[in-house]
Order: sequence, then C-alpha cells, then structure tokens
Amino acid sequence: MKKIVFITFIAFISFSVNSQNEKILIKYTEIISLGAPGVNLKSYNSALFITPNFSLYVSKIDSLENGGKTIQKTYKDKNGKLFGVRDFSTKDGLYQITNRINDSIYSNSRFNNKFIYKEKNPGIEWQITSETKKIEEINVQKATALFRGRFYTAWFAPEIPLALGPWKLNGLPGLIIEAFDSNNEVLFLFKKIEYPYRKEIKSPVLDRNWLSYADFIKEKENHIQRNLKYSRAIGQHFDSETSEAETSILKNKNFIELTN
Amino acid sequence: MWKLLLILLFSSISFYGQKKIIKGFVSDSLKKALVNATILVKDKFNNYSYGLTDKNGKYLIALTAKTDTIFIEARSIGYETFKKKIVIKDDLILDLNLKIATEKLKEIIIESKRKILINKDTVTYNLSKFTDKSEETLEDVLRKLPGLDISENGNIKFNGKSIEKILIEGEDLVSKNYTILSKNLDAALLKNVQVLRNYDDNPLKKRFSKSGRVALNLSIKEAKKNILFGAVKAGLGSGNHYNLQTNFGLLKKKIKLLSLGKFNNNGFLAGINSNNLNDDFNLNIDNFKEPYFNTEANKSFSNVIGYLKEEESVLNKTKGNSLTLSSKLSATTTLRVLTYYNTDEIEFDKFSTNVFNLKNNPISIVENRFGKDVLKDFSNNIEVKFFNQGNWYLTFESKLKTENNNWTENLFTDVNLSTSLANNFKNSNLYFFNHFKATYYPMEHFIWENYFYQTHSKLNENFETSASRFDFETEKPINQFVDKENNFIGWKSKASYQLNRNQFQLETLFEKENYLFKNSINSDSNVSLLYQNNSNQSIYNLGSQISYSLELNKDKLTLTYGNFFKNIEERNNFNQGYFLPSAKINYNFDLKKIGKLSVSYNHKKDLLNTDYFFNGLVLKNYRSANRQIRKIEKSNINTFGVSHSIQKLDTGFLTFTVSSLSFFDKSLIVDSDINSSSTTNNFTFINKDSFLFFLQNETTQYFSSFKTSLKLKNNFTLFSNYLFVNNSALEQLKNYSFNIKLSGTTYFKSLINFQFYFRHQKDWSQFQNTTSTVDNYIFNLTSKYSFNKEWFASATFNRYNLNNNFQDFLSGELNFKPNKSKFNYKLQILNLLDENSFDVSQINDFQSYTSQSRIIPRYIMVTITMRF
Repeated sequence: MKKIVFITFIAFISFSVNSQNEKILIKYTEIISLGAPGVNLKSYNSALFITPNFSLYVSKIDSLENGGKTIQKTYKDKNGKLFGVRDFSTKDGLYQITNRINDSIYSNSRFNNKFIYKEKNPGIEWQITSETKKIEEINVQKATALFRGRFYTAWFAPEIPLALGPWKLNGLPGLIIEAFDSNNEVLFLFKKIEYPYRKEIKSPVLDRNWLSYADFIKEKENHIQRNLKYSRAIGQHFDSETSEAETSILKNKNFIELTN
Repeated sequence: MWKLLLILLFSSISFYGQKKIIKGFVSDSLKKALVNATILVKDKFNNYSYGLTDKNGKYLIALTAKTDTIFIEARSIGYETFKKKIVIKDDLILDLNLKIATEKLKEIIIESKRKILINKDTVTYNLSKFTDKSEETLEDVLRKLPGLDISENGNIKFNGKSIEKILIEGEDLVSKNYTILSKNLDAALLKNVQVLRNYDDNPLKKRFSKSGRVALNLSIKEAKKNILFGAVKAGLGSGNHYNLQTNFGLLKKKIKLLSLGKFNNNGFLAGINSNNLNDDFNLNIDNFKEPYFNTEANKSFSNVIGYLKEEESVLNKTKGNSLTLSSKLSATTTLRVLTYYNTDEIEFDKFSTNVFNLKNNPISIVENRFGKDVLKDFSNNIEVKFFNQGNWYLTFESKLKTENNNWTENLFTDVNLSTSLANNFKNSNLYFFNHFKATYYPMEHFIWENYFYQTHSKLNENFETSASRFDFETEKPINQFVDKENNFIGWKSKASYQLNRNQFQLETLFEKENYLFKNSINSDSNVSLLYQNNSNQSIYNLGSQISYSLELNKDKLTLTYGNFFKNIEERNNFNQGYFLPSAKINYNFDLKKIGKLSVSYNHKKDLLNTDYFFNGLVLKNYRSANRQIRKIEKSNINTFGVSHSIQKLDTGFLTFTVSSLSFFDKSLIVDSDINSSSTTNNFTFINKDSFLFFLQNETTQYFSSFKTSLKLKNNFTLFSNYLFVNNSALEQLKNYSFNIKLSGTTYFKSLINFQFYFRHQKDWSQFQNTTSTVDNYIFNLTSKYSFNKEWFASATFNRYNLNNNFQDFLSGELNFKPNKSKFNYKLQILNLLDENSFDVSQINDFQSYTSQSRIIPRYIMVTITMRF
C-alpha cells in the first residue's frame, strides 16, 4: 500500500502503464552534502521506478522515510567554518520524471518543491572505461562524465539495458546502480533492486504548467540570498572561528548543478 | 621538407579527426522496432562507444575505436543479448535482430551490503570505499567519512554531536584526550572506523537506556599492528624561545602504548589543575568522589594573566610527559594504566594596587612582588574493567596523585614600597582514590547501579614570611604549618525503573567521613608556638532521593524529592544531626512557533561553615588572616529558573535566554578589620535574606545585505549580601556585573575576510552609599588570508582599554601545509608592538584591584611539524 501511496504524491490524475511490460524498482540512498564534502549532510532514501516509457525518481519524501524525516544539525566544513542546516522530507518530495517518448525530464526544484519545470534530456556525454566490478551481485562498469559543473562517476549495469539512473543522470547503455561526484557532495548509493517489480506503478500525467529550464535558472539566482542566511547566523552563534574567503564560493556550492 | 611535414600533419589530423560511424536499425524477430535498446561497442584496447535506439528503433554511434576490429553488443529488456565481432573499414550500416529471451531474466531482489553499514547504534564505514590513500592521519580519513566532521581545534562531531572518546579495537587508551589519536595516528593503519551511537562504557546501562553519547572505534589492519608512529613538533624563536612536542605510539594486539611529551618556554603549561574539595551531598552516581584540597595560604595568587593568550603572557619553563597503556587481559577483563608527570616553572613580576573603598577611610595597599613558582605533579592511574557477558558489569579504578608547589617571592609594600619582605610557600599533597562500581541488570525495565569508594587526601603546607604584620608578633618572622587529612568511605546506589513514558529513580547514599584540620602559627621557625588549632570531625551522611519523570507529547515533567541526614561529631565537643530535605520540579514546554520554554523551582536546605570547625586563626598571606568559628547553621535556599529559546532557521535568527533567582535566608558573613598593614576576617551568621540574580541572552542574526553575521551576547549578575567592616553597623553590599559582547564574521567575496568582537565589561559594587566601578573594553580584529590551498596567513589586533588604560597587541602567523608532505611549517610573530607588561583592573566586593605584570616580549617563532 505504501508503495502506491508513495507515487500518488503528485496530486493529479494518474494513468496506468502497460502492465504487460516488466517494471523495475531500484532504491538508493541519496546523500547530498553541498558545500560540505563528505559531511553527510542530508541523507534520504530514494527510489527509481522504471516502466518502458517513463521513469520516476523520488527522494526526500515522507512515504520513503517511515512517515517523515527531519535533519537538524550544525557542522563545520574542512576549514572549520560552522554552519547550520535543517532539512526534512515532505509529503510530495522531490522528483524527476523522465519521459522517454519525447526525451524530456520533468522536475520540481530542490530548493522549492512547488516550482516545477521541464527540460530536454541533457544528453550527458559519458566516457565509458573498461573498469568493472560487482556491486553486490550485479556486474557494473565504470563511466565518468562532466555534467553541469560536477565530475561524476557512475557504475552502470550493461546487463540491465535501461539508459536510466538516479536524478538526472542517465543515458548510459545500462542502468546506473551507483553514482557520485568527485567532491563527495552528491552521492547516490545502491540499496536495493527489485525486478520484476510487481506492484502497480502509476505515472503522473504530464499535462501541467511546467516552467522552462531558463525560468528555473532565474529562480535559482533568487534563492541564493535566502539560502545563505541561516548558515551564517548559526555559524556566528557558535563563535565559529574562521572566516575564509572561500565562503563566498558557497553560493555555487548550494546546488547540485553548478553550471547551467 | 616543410611541405612534407605539413602534409603529414594535416593528414594525421584528418585521420584522427574523423570518426567512423556505425548506424542501423534494431528490431525483434518480427522486424518490429525496439525502442531504447542499448548498444555498446569496444575495440581490443577497451575504447568504448555507445548508443541507444530512438523511437523508430534506429541508432547511430560515432566510434572511438582505434582498430578496425570491434565488438558490438546490443541489448533490450526481455531479449537475448546480441554479440558480434566485426571488422569495420569505413562507415557501416548494421541492422540488428534480437531474439526474444526464451529464458526470462531471472528475478532479482538484491540488497546492498553498504559502504556504510548501520546496525542499530553502530555505524561502520568500510574505509576502502571512502579513502584514496592520500590521507595521512586519522583526522584526514574522518574528514572523508559522511556524517563526521572536525573543527579547527580538532573536536570531532558526528552529525553535529561531539564525540566522547576514540577507542582502538574497542579499548579506551586516552580517555577524553582523543585529539592525540586523531591528529597523530597514521591513516595507513586503519581498517575501518565505527561510530558508536548511544555509547556507554557500561554495557548494561547501554542496554537499559540511551545515553545519547557518541564514541568512535578504530579497527587496525592486522599487518600494521606492531608499528611505531608519532609526531614531533619543534619550534625555535628569538629570545631563546622554544617549543617541542612529541607523540609516540605502539599498537600491538595485546597491548597498546602511547607517550606524549611537552617541553617549552612559550607559555604552554603542562600542569593539570585539581578540582576543589567538594564534599557536598552528591547523589549523582556518575560523579567519582575525588576530594582535592584547597591550600590555605597563597590561595588567590594566579599565574595566568587575564585576557592574554598563553603564548603572550606566561613566563614559564615547562616539561611534561605521559604514558598510557591499555591491555586486554582476557575476554572479560581490560586493564588501563595512565602515568604522567609535569613540571612548570613560572616567573612572575607584578606591581599591584588594592584599594578598600571604605567611605570614611579608604585604604590603599601597593605591592611589588617578583619571584618564582615551581609546580610539580605526578599521577598514576590504574583501571580494570570486567564484564561477565551476562548481567553484571564491574569496574575498579585506583588513582595515586602527588602535587608539589614551591613558591618564593620578594615583596615590597607600604608607602614608597619602603618595606621589604621575603615570603615562601610550600605544599605537598597526596591523594589516593579507589573506586569500585558494580552494575546489575536483571530484567528489561530495571537496572541497579552501585558505587563503593574509599579515598585518602592529605595536604602539608608551610608558609613563611620574614616579617609578621599581625599584632601578635609584629615585624618578626612567622610561619604556619597546616595539615589536612580527609578519609571517605561510602556507597552510592541508584535503581532505575522505566515503563513507557514513565521513569522512576531511587538514589541512596551512605558515607562516613573523617576530616582532620591542624594548623599552628609559630614565631621565628618554631621557636615558640603562637597559635594552634585542631579539628577532628567524624561525619555520617545518609541520603535518599526519588525522581519521577513523565513525557507528555513533546512536554516533559520531572519531579525530584530528596532527604538527607548529616551527623557531625567533633571529639568531646560536639555531636549534632541535621535533616536537609530538598525538592525540585521542572517542566519543559514546547511552544512550537514561539520556541521552547523550561521553568523550574528548587528548594533545599544546606549547612553553612562545615569546612573550618574550630575557633582560631588561619593565615592567608603575609597580611591577612581568617578567624574561624566553631558553629554550623542551616540555611534555606529557594531557586527559580526560566529558560527560553527560539530558532527561526529560515530567517537566520536565533535567541537563547536563561535566568535564575536564588534567595538565601541565612548567610555566613565576613566581619573584617582592615588597616593599612593587615586584614583580619571574622565570621558570623545573620538571618537576613540575600539573593543572587542572573540573566543571560544570546541573539544571532545574519544580515545578507552586509554579508555579515552578528551575535550579541550579554549577561547581568547581581549579588546582594551583608558585611561588617571595621566595627561598622551591618551594611548591605551589592555586586553588579554586566557584560556585553558583539561579535561578527564577514563573508566577502575576496581572499581576505574578517572576524571581530567588541566587548564591554562593567563591574560595580555599592557599599556604604558609594559606588566603585571598573569599565573594561576590548576590541579584537582578526584578518585571515588564504592564498591557496597550501598557504594561509592571519593577523590579529587587540586593543584593550582597561579602566582607561590603553594597550595594543598585534600578532601574525603564516602557515604552509604542503599537500601529501609529512612536514608542516609555521612562522609566528607575537607581541609585535613589544608591550612589556599588561595591566588589569578588577572590582571585587568593596575592593578595587589593579595590577601590572611582566609578559613575554616580542618574539618570532618558526615551527616545523613532522609526522611519521
């Protein structure tokens, strides 16, 4: 039941996909530590539901967090600067819907989940390497790519021929089982795969008023000032001892996508 | 020739610049297009290319292959993999046909064995998945582990919570001094790191309730368990300044050793200050009973100069070393030994003025003292822990500690500093403490802890002054011998029962105490005895306390009631019992949007004057003495407390407020006889209310338009009490203290940023209708530059305006920390403006005190740190 509920998060009409095709569920742990490499700031469960024409990636959602999760902590970054963070899962969560028919990704924004936008699948240019290993019993192969300012390593499974993966990472000749960036700020770690996934997957109707990727960029700029406030205040509160110039770069570090 | 080269160049460009194309149509056996099929191509050198089919089943791949022979694989869910080796000279059209899989892809449900394994309260990091071998120390490793972070001073936090200890293979080597390990332990030794949440030394208490504490545990690689590691930090400076620190460690399977050394003359003292004697009724079973003695004479002299940093102020010569060892004796038993010795030699040169602000006749005392204080301490600690792996846990700890202090000074005082005195103070202390703890956990909701202790504390003190200031032996040398001895034996127990949201606790105490105090004042080196006091008390303490707490949604109620009985017996003189009940109520409210509020009320009865139980004189220094009284009285203490906090996280606003008000219905007050040559403090009880009020607020806000965060912290204290001075009537004394500090940090987009604070401390006292005031202002500005990831610099400026006396300090440092090097380098310039002395002003009761102390003059220091 929970799994059904968890898809109905987008409160509009859903349709049933062709159920004779087999479906896959892959669960990840999504760890986002922007500006604080390796601090494990925000760790949530996430899931990727795959049907032949759509995939749906959801994270930070109450239904995957036993009814809800709140993260409240202070941390010092590697320079000793103190920051504060408070974050929580929501009823609707964060999502990416990949429509494989028109090759587009539909998302809500990570800093404001009411802000919804659509973009052409960015077509990441992966470099596939010969390096292989096993993640649990799955044979995976390593690929790397620079995508919007971060250098990602992805481990994909050629034996699962689906060019999909967590968040906006996709396009490899196999399902992405794990991925992380070189800064250790964005990690999608493998947790579980279920194939075939027998429960019903409902995918959202995409007929909504999606804003454009350009609108998203604008909204991102607006968000920057709002975002810095709390972290600096709490740093002051606990008499954080350093104030490095690097802090100014914080602006860029607040997003998974560093470039447009 | 050139033409040939050019041709070769262009031909090679065109050769490598143009990729061969392979394209085609992927279909099933019915020639139906397969959408989103994957195609992976490689050559024998593992150059990969890939593509996907579009909605018409078509694909196109620009090959990166360097050879003509390629391997192609095409896949689609529900179809068999197509694999073929082909030779491709030019662009190629290749249609592929995939067969429906006769055997369905086998069902898979795979769950991860994570890089991070979370098992209840233990988080295990599989290090090979997080590290890349560039790490040098444990600290470097911890920085890479999600959830762990490390502050500048080395404090380690897990998800924002400070860790308590670092264990090695489950063994506690250094107790709370874990930075010794984190900063020095070689990363290459580590196999994995565990975070132990809700850590408790006591495995049974851990099972019973969540401690909320965190510790780390390190697993060491098998092959590396016999390796010596360490670090040497050596600094050399102008003015013969030196600073040497060493760390060595050896970790073997059965035994673990660690040695730390310190040798410097730039202000870093090694001595560990003992706690003061605390023989209050204390039912807290987690507090070890370790009664340390206060000295009688020379008590108020401090070697540390207010406000300044150690490396700016203390004129010292320090050496110290410690050795710790831990050994697992058997599967159930662990042994730990810690030994250390420290020597601090401190020079002082201080000019001070002390004014007694008496209405009619203010008295001013000037003193110039210079001399040396030599402090030595030695300690040896042994701990044995035993856990039967069932429901018993036993620990035994024994501590032996000695302290020696030898303090000599030449002192000039009186008008024009015309009187010269030589004072000498020596003391030696011996402490021997034994602690035995037993925990029994027989059933799920119930745990019983027991703590037995036996302590012995002894102090011998000798104070000599070359000329007595007291009327009983004016102008002649006198000395005072003090012997104190204290023996405790006791048993504390705590039984806890918890069910759902209710928790009950019953704590009890049985204690026998023997307390001996002896002092004698003699003229001219024992020639004749002037005064002698003896006190020998036997004290029995019985106590019990019951607590109940209840969680109501997010609110929490706690009720505590205790009753104590104390019987004091002085040989042949006195035998009296006292009942001392206490009660406490505390309620925590969750007010949601307007924060959290906690209110409490506490009532208790306490005994006054239990420390000195005789009628007689005790010398405090060359010019003051206390005249004790053989009397004990009971006082009622009522305390109200309120605290409140709001955190508005989205607007960057935080505020915390704490306030308390305590009333005492009876006090032990001082009746002083003060004249320009000596002070005698007599004591008496009064039945008048005195009170203590305290208020503190901290508010923080980030101002985005100025890219600056600001914090305002202020506190206010008012203490009202009564005094007699020089046969006056009883007079009220009010001590006020107000402190405000504004601090800030900038976040400019430049290589330079600032931290600053401004602090104003105002202390004033009202006595005999006059007010005495001290105003101290401090301004601090630190600018920090980071040129790149290896070079950092900072400069600190401090301006002190201490009661209208301006003093400026400037210091700077440059750090070079090359990546992946075993060496770090640091250049420091301290006290750049070359101040020779530092002036401090204070107000205490009706006394104003100013002093001028010699400090470390300007020096430059270069420090090299090497780790191995």
